[in-house]
Amino acid sequence: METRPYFVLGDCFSNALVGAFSGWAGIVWMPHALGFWLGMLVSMAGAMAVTMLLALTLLLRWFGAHEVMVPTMIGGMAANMTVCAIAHHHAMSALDGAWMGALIGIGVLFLTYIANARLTREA
Amino acid sequence: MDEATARKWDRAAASFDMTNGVGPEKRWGPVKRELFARMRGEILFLAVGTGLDIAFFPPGQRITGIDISGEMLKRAAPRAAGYPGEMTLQRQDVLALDFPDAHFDQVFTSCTFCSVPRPVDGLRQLLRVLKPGGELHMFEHTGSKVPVFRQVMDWMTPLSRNFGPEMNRDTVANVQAAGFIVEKVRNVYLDVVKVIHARKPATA
Repeated sequence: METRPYFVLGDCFSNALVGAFSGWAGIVWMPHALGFWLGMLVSMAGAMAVTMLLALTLLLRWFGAHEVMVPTMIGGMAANMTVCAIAHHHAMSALDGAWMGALIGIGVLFLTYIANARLTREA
Repeated sequence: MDEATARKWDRAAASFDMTNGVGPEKRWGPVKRELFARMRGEILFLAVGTGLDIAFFPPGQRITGIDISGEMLKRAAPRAAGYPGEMTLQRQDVLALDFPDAHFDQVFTSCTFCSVPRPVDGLRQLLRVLKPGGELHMFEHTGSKVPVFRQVMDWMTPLSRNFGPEMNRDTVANVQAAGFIVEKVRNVYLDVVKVIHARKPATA
């Protein structure tokens, strides 16, 4: 389990950033005219393309590595889906979407740390 | 020589240290140092790349480092020259190794078999050049058996394979399929980054 502050903070930063962007995209890039499911897919595809580029370049360089970006991408997807779903039923600002996305990103990271502790103990 | 793969890594060479030289090396450095501490005898180090891993080698060993990419090897040369032991670099393809049978005591890999086009064939080459009872020690990232991680890695692979690794390989199964005896597998990160210790059967 990663305990070095540089990487723990880096993981938090990466997941919060990707989550926040994906949450923001869930509000701003959601084409409501396409309906909920298709609109969410379009919004998510855009968010994933941008965040994957970000993850595989800047975030990978500083907080490495490819495989560490897996929970980051999952956090981004979860953030986008959740924000899209909530925003479909309730008015939500882009800033609120970003905050919620960041929290979801951190939540996914927390679950990943639990999974990591379990999987590295099992082997 | 698989020239398409060589070209892919030639293209990656210029930016390789920039993307992999800080975070990934710092993050996995302690694990690699511990793994490479096992080095002894005649050693083959696979896919030496730009030589970032050389910093983690214990001093005083006899190591042959190979890579398919000439551009990678150019960048690795100064690092190999600075290694406090005997280190030579050669441009070779793991799928067609130009070494005699039963030549090495140990083979080490570091994030290699995520990228070799036909991994089981490559591992069979390693089996060939190892002495009977010879050791294979690997630091590799692999696919995951956890569905959510596996799915995301399956999605990332079509993109990542264009500039580097495949994210979803079952390297432990490949090592077994090639004829090695897998002695120990340790998960380093999730069930994705692994240290694998295997041995060529003494009678092979």
